Amino acid sequence: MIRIKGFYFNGRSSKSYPAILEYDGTEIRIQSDEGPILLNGSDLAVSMDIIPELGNTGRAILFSDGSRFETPDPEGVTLLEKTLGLNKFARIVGFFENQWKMVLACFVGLAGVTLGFISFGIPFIAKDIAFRLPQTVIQKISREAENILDQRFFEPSRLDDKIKNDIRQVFDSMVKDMNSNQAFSLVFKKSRFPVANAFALPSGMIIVTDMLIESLEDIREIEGIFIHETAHVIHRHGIRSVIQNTGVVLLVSLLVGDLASITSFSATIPTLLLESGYSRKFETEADEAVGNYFLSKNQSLKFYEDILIRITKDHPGLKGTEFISTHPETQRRIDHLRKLVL
Amino acid sequence: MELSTEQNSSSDLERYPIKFAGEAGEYFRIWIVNMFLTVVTLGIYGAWAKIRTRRYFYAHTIIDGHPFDYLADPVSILKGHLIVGMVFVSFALSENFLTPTYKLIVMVLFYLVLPFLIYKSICFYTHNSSYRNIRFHFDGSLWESYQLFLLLPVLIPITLGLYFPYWSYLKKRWFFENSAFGTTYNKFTGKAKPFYRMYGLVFLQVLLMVTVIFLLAFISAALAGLSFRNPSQSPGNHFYEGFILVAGLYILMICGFSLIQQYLFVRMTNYCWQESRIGDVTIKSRLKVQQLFWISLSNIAAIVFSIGLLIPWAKIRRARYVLSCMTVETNVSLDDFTSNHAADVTAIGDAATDFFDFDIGL
Repeated sequence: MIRIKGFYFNGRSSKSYPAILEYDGTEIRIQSDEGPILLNGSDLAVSMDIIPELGNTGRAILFSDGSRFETPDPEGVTLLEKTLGLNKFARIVGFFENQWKMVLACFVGLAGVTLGFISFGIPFIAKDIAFRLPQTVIQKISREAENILDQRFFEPSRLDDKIKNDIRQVFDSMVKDMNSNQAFSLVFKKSRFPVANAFALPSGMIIVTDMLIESLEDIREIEGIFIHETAHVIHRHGIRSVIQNTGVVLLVSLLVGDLASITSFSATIPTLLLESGYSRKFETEADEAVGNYFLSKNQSLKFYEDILIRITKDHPGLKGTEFISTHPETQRRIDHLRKLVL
Repeated sequence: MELSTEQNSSSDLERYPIKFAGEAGEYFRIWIVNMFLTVVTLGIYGAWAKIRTRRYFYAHTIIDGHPFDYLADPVSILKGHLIVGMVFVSFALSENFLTPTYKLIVMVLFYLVLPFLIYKSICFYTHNSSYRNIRFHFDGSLWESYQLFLLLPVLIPITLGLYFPYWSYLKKRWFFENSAFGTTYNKFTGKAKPFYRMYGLVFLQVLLMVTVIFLLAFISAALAGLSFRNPSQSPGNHFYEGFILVAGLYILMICGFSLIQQYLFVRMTNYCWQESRIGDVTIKSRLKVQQLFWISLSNIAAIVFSIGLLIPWAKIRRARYVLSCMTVETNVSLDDFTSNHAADVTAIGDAATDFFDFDIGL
């Protein structure tokens, strides 16, 4: 016989009647000033809802007629739950929550799964989607990106035709050499801000800024840059980047999602960290393509190193800020390349 | 002192301080298991987790020995989550993949749907809140929601912001005067003028903060400019020094905004409860800006430095303070409220979103 002392609410008013709930194995009887309430054995699972345990609170049972039984005695209700075989899943969850060892296991599991998503899950899915995207979509995205870049950052190039032709010759012969299914094109632009850089759009269009060409001391320096940028295209880094970043935002909002605004500012920090992490990985992949190319041609990396150092000279990276930067530190890039080639 | 017209009720005012029995350690365990199960199920358990969280806070909020309860059905919340998730993904991808016209269409659609979501959210959240087995409910209409959240906001830019405090007053009034505990409606006697006073002060605070930040930025830029003239330092280093400076000012700005946010919350909450009356029950709210600001700031710091692990502690701490400042006062018995079965039946039960957090009040 299970006996629980508590309060009964009849579902019509807020009045609480001191009550005693008894279960004798077949029926539930609630005795109070409201008169005895009887629930039959066969109906029990259907006509009542034992609210699962929730920390150190009292318990409550809801009945299908809208009435409610509350009690500060959790043990009696737990016993009732077990005897009737109710709330199995909730009881398992409750078991996890009540033991610090289990909580620790959950924490480790949580960290593991989250890291797994970040290191493998998200990049894997992004790669899969990126390589399934049809060319029409890729062309469209690239056109949109080019429009935005032209609007905000670029003007027509002011380089000499001779220089442009020379560079183009190098480019064309490299592309021919690559013998890839991917179509590439080369475009020269002047950037509104003084930037010596090259960009690759998913469609295969490589953009180089005037300042980059002007900073070349040997025409062979541009080769490594072309390999690096075409690698971005071949491996679809641009698209994978966008998908991965969306995934990161989803993951972070899953984790902090049910919380108030005090935490939303702190959520941008992990998002930023993760996104720049992914970016650095892609940059390294592109650098590796450069290393492999020169290795296969038995040529020196020197020209690529020279131009890398020259164009990143103005922002070498203050020690310690690499974790939020989109490119690895220049010296690290060079060291990594040298290790590949050795 | 109220003079009661009822013959039988006592003229003694009973005070029931609101007790919060939640504990950080206990909630932390629930929170970790929630997170673990949510991530492992790719977010599906999130609906159950959300209900469990809200239920935890409700069940530990106790008046006169009886707790609150949250009775939501997890499946409704799950449906809501799936819809919101899909909308988010399509919006995020449209950011990068679609033309500006598409983006515009998505944004317009979002604003058209928002009042509907807010309305459903309030109805769902109030209907599923109960105390002593009597459900609360919200009696506002969908049309009122559209007026409030789609039409009237247009007036804000038109009046260069002068309409904003009045709009804020209308929102609070809509929520407070349409809320009911069973058959007993809340009477809201608030006026717009106090809102203007509150926002006026907030505006001054914002001006002060922006001025201070600008001055600091100006001074540090001037100092940096002096060191720039030093030829032995390459320009590259200054890019990163500048970055650290900007980060510092950003943090300062966050603190400033937090203070202003807490100030507004304290004043509005205290005022709205002061002007509310549920039958013969009033709720006294005595929040203090200083204390809440301190709690808020230290919570943010704790969360950032613990990489989020102290989030449960922060939530409990804030809830404990806010509820400790509230007292239920009445000269009638809390036993005398009746439930509103008609409203219970017509309440929405399908897909639901739950946008609101505990700070909105009981």
